[in-house]
Formats: sequence, C-alpha cells, structure tokens
Amino acid sequence: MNPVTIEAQRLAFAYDDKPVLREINLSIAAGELFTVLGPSGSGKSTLLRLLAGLDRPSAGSLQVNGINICDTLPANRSVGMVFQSFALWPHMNVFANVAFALDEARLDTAAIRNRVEAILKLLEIGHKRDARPDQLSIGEQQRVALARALVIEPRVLLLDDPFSNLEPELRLHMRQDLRRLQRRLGITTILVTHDQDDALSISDRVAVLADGLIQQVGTPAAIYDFPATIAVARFVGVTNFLPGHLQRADEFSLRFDSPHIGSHSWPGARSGQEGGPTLLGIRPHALRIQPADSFRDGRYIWLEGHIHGSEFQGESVRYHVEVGGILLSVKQAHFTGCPAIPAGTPVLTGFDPSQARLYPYHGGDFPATHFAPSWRG
Amino acid sequence: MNRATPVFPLLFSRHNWRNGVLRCLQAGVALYLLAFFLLPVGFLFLKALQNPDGTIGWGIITLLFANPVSWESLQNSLIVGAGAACLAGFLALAAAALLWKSHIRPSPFVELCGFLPLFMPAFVLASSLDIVIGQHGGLPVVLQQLLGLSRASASLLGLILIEAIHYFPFILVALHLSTRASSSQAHAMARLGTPWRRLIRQVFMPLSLPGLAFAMALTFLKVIDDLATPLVLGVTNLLAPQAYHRIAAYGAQDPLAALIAAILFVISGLAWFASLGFIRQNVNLFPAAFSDSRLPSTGSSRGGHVFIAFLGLFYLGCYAGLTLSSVAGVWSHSALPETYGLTHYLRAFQFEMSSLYNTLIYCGFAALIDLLVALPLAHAIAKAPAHWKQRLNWLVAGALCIPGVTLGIAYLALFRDIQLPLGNLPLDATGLLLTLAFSIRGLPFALHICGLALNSVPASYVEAASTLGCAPAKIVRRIVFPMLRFGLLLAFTLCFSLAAVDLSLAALLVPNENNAPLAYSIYLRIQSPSGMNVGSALAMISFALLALILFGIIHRLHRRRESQRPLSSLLFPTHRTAGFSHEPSHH
Repeated sequence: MNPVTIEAQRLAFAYDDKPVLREINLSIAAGELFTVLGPSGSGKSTLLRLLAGLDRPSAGSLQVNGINICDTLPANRSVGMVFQSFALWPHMNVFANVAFALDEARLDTAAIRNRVEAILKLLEIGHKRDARPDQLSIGEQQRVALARALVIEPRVLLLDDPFSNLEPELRLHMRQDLRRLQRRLGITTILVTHDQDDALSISDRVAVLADGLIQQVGTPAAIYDFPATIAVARFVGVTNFLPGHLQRADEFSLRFDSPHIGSHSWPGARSGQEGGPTLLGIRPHALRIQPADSFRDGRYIWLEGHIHGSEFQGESVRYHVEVGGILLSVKQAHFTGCPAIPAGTPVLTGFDPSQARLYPYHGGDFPATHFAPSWRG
Repeated sequence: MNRATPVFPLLFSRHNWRNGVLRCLQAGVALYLLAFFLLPVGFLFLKALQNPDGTIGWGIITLLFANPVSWESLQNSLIVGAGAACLAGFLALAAAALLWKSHIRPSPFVELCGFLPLFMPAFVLASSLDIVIGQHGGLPVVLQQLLGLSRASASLLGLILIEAIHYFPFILVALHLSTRASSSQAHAMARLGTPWRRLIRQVFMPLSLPGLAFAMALTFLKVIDDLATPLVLGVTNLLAPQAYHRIAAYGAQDPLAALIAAILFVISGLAWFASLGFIRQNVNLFPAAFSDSRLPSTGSSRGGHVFIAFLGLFYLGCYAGLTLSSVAGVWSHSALPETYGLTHYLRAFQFEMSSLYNTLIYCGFAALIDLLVALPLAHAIAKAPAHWKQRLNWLVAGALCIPGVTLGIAYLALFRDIQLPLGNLPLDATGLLLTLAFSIRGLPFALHICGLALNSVPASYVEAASTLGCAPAKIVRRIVFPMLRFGLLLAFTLCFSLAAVDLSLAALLVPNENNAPLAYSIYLRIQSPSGMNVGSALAMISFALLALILFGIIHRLHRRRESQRPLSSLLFPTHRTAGFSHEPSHH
C-alpha cells in the first residue's frame, strides 16, 4: 500500500468544555516517521486518538491523502495503533491477538495463517505464537502489539508512547528495530512520546506540543539547537535561563542587561525584542569553563563564578557554576584520569553569543534549569 | 495520556439507536427498583402508620407498644443483634491481631471459608448445638444455676453465643483482609525496634476499623433478621419471630406485623448508615487480598497456623452433631449413635430433590435478574455525576439493609390480591415473589461485583478492537464479555448462594411446602424429631454443594493468578473509581 500524507488544519478538541487541543496545524509527509513530543497532559495522546477516530475533534479538519476523515469510523480508517499498555487481550494467545482483525475481515483460514505467520516472523516472535500475553516479556508484548497493528496493512501506524514500559537497554534496541521496520515498510508513522531521547533519536521530524498548542515543528537537530519558545527550550534538553532586559545600545546593536551577569552587547539580536524582559537561554554543552586567571577569548561572553558542585556522568561531567547568584549547568567532556574541578574553585564560564537564544518573557515565574536548587535572581 | 474511559460509551457513542437500547435498559432497571423495592417498602410504612379508621397516625404504634411483649421483643432483638456483633467482633479483633502479628498467609480456601457464614444459615449451627445451648440445653441450665438467670435470659445468651460463633469467621476474615497488607511493614518496623503493643494500637486498630465496622454492621443486620435460629432454639420474644407469628396467625394484612417489619427496617437502616461513617474512613476496605508482598517475618508463624487449625477443629466440632445425626442409624440414650448408615442421605435424595430443584429455579432466576439489573445499573452509576452516583449507591445500599422479614411482609401486603394474567393464578401462589425478593436482596452484592468487573476491562482493549475494524456487537462478544465472564460468574454464584440461605424470605413467601427451597426444607425437617436425620443429611448435602462451589472458585482463582490479574483486582480493588477502567500495569 502506498504511503499517505496526513494534514491537520485548525484541529481542536475539548473535554468537558476544557480545551485539550487548540488550533493544531500539521502536515505529515508520506512515509515519514513523525513524532509528537510533549509533557504529560499536553494533549499528545488526544491528538493520536483523534487520528485513530477514538475521539471526535471539536473543530477543524483531519485529512488523509486530502480526504477528510473526521466522520470516518475507526474501523474504516485503516489505522494500526499500538497502545501504551499494548492492550493485548489476555484471553487470547499471540496468534489469536494478531489474527483478530483478519478474522473479523472474514479472510479464509489459510490466508490468515500465512499473513499472521509472516508478520510474526518479521517481528521475530514466530516461536511465541501459542503463548498468552502474560507469558511474554515486555519486549515481546510490544512486538505482538506491533504485529497486531501491522497485520492489517494500515495506511497509518500510530504509536502511543510504546517505549515507556521498557528497560533502558531494551528501549534503545526496540526503537532502532522500530525505525528499521518503519523504513522497510515505508508506512506513515506517528509516534507520541514524552521522552525526548525517543523523539530525537528516530524521528524524521518532531512536533513539540505543550498546553494543547504546537510549539515548534522541525528536524530533531533543529528542535534541539534552535528551540523556538521557552517551553521547547525547557522541555527538550536542559537549558540555562538568565533573566534580563534587552536595550538598544546603538543604531546597530542591542544590549542585554542582566542583574546576574552584567551588561553585554548583543549584535545578533533582532530589533523589536528590545525594551521588555527577556530570557537568555543557553545549553549546558555550549558553555565552557576555564581557570579564572586564564586568557579570555574575545568571541565569548565571560562570566566570573565558582564551582558549586559537580556530577560525574560517565562520558561527561556536569558542573554547577554559581554566577552572580544563580547556578548554571555546564557540561564538559570527561577525559580518562582527569579529576573533576573541586567545589569552590573560581572559574570563568563563557559562551558564544551565537549559541544562545533570547526569548521575550511575558510574566510568571522565571523558568529555572531543573537541577538548580533554587532561583535566587 | 492514559485516560480512564468507560468501556460502554465507546461502544455506544456513535449510534443513537444503541444509546436508546441502553436508556431502555436503564429505564427498565429503574422501574424494577421502583416496583419491587421502593413501592413495597413505601406501602409497608404507609400500612404501619395507618390507623384502623384509615387515617395516618401513631395509633398502631401505640397499640403495639401497649403490649409488653413488643417492648421485650424490641429490646431482645437489639440485645441479641448488638450482643452477637460485639461478641463476635471482640473475639475476631483479638484473633485478627494474632494473625496480623504472626504474619501468616492462609490459603485462599481458608480465606474464603471465612465467608461461609453468609452462605450457610445460622439455624443449621443452632440445630447442631441445640443440645448444648438451646432453650433446654446444658448451657442455659448452667447459667440459670450459676448466675440465677431466668430461662428466657439464658436462652437469649445462648442465641447470642450461637450467632457470634456463626458470624465470627466472617468478621475475622474481613479484619484479616483489611489489615494483612500492612503486616509486612509492621514486621519491618518491629525489627527496627517498635514495640508490638504500639504497632497494634497505632497501625492495626485504625486499619481494622473499616473492616470491623462493615462486618459488625452486616452481622447485626443478619442477626436481627434471623428468623429460623430463634425458632429452632425456641426463642420467640424477638421482633422477627413476632412478625412471623402475626403473619401466620392474622394474615398478610395485619398492621402490627407491618409495623414490626417497618421497625426492623428502620433499625437496620440506622445501624448500616451509622457504620458507613467508619467504613468510609478507608475506601480500600480489603486492600490487596489474595496477593501480598512477601517479607520474611521476624517471629514464628506457627502460632498463627495452630490458631487457624484450632478454629477449624472448633467449627468441625460445632457441626459434629449435624454430621453424626445425618449418618446415625439407631441413636438413643447414648453419647454416640449405635449404628451408622447412609439411609438418611438416600431418603434425602429420594424425597427432597424437588426442594433442590426449587432452589435452582428460585435462586437461579433471582441471580439472573440480579445480573441483568446490576450490569446496566453499574454502568449508569459509573457514568452518573458525582452527587447522583452517591445517591444511587445509597439507594442500593438501602436494599442491603432491608431485612428479609420486612421485604417478605411488604411483598405479601402489596401483591396479595394481584392475579397473574395467564392462568388466573394469584401472584403470591407462584413463587415469583420469592424470586423477585431474593433478587432485591442480592442486588447490592451483584452491583458491587458488576461494577468491579466493568472496571476490570481497560478501555484500551475495546479501542484496540475498534481500530482493528471490529463492530461494537462483536467487541462485546469477543472482548468485553470474555473479560467480564469471571466477574459475572462470581456475581451469579454470590447472589445464588445468598438467596439459597435466605430463610426469612422463604418462610414468608414460599407458596407451599412442595414448592419450598432447600433451606426451608432443611428447616422444616430439622424442626421435627422424625425428620431431624434427613434434615441433617440435606444440610450436609448443601455443605457439599457449597464446598464444590468454593473449590470451583479457587480453581478459577488459581487459573486467573497464572494467566491474568488476580482475583483481588476484581473482588477487593485498591482503587476507588466506579465504572472506569484502568490500564494493566506491567512489571
């Protein structure tokens, strides 16, 4: 079956008059593995349920290959869905679970057997065909759920946080398997997850959903490197936020004034941002540390501070550097045999302004990096 | 988003005609409750407050309590009910504390045996122990001699003792199931140096309170409603026997009988709702029954096992009289029978099989009605707004606290003159009333289990089938029903068993002796010296049937434990939502 495109236009859904999704606009290419990433309660599973036809949108349209499917019953949408809990029917064995849909479609017994055995073989669980779901490992259960969704040869595959129940090692293995399978079948696939590793590692494109709104759509690298909003910057990866104000310095440049890091000229900042409260966001890996009395590279903005603590993370060390009364997270590569810088050591922390992002700030509590013990700005 | 979604709306959401079917079902349920619960009870109260001249007033009440026997009966009923509940509760509390401390995990069979008092009429125990604590038995005589009690008071004490012995296992198992989950943690704390006395006072006692209140309230309701046990022991100055005798003497329209029945209902209702405050303190009445985290206990559990063995022997001893009587050949003026044989069993099978058939008909249909009513009702309650949910639950709880005597008299009063359209038979001569009354009494239990069974079907199971192209009717047949099957079977068994032992209703509503259910036949046989042995044999046969049902449940339980979620998730859930599904957890 040829892969299909999916288009959502001004899609909205309310539950008991409480908006869950608002004005969702999405365009998913044929054969794409598209991930909807968002925190719990952001509405990502609701979006998947709308696509599956389990809920009806309150407004907007949902099109598959240009045809509106809002009034189409789930059974007629040709959608395979893998549930977070896998939803394998406990009173049926693996074969019966997978064959269920084919049985309902009244295919003849031989055809059912052939198709089920083929899909079980593809997913490497053919030897478990007579086992009941409770006799399977979690990984095997997931494969059966996938087999059950794929056996109907759906036009769209929907995956509702399918890796959330897996151990880290199995999770890594399964998502690579899934990616390979999806490329092999070429099926348009939508994955919803709250786990950024899942989203960033296997997706063609990612949409970040927060508070029922799409915050940003882009490739995993674009989402990580250039988060469009504070919500994306906070949710995808770790970001240090520094509050301040953006002022016009002269005709050609702006100045970022922060009570914590002082005043710095900002040549790259767009006009129109000046005047209001602003948050400067910088990733931990974009910050560097060097001794307090060392040479300061002029391309960097340097902040004086001292090491507050450190966390050894194997391939890297995460330092908490206290600068102007706030804690910044700095990620440095770990080299074999090199000890971590002891707490209390005065250091310079610098960053390239082009690696930082400025976000207009519209009130509420300042977001803090999640590891910071307190925000003392 | 792992949203809990009711199962049935998914099946009914897109089709108005299916919504219509559901509405019709729910309207039928409402009609049934109105016609066979609210209307008879309302009519009974009306009749109880109706003066001889037709006006409403206190005339009948004044008349009733002008008779000192009525006051005495009221007092005696309260004394016996409260006395049995308190005595059994006190003993069970001590025993449960011992089991809690010894941290033993009795087999599910032993745990289920604790529920036997609900499925076995107390008069069977009474007849077995009659020789010891009956009106003319040894204990009253000793009490008369030692304490100078009157014969009537001594008989009341005997009755309290019998009822306490009978309901003790039920209260014990309720307490055990309420507290067993915390036993492991208590042992861990004991290892860290917390004294057991403090643990029992500060952990065991608060945790046991809901289970204790529930079981004691139910014991109280059962005891004051018990008609047969006092009659077997020859104690008649209680409310239930008084009402029964008035109906037997003056017929169904006797206003004093209606008043006594109404008083019984009021007492039961007050007792039940008074206990609700304690029960509500902890919604997890029986947390994690049949599944417990294992933690090695500090002390030896031998004490607990010895105690359970002692209890088993004690109860076997209590029923020894009945067992011996059922196999006794010649037994006269000797400690044990002189000859033994199975003649009484043969006679029971030969002449009393019709009562077994009647039981199957009455109780089977009652249990079936319960399922048909409870399933849509459970769904309606699950979908209802919170304030309505509570009202509906209270309404059904009202059915739990309506005594059998009250319901029986209410039915007799209301449906007395109604003729069936076909055959021109009076309604009360068909046994239909008995079936309907049984179903009303079993409804709260059926509703509880059906609600839990509906909860046990995760919405995602239905959704998965729905996305795979399965039609709603087939989803019900292939996914929902197989998953509800065990819960429905359990509800059916429970309702059937409860109806089978409901002697108060049977005694009032049975059309005639030939159409009597088994419990009533046993009662009639045991009452007469010539039929005592056959009655005992019949009781033993019903014991055997009960044991078979228990083994069936245990067998299914083990299979479920191996294949699916444990029975605990169905019987004793650790959550509190009604009618909403929960995703299974994966460990």
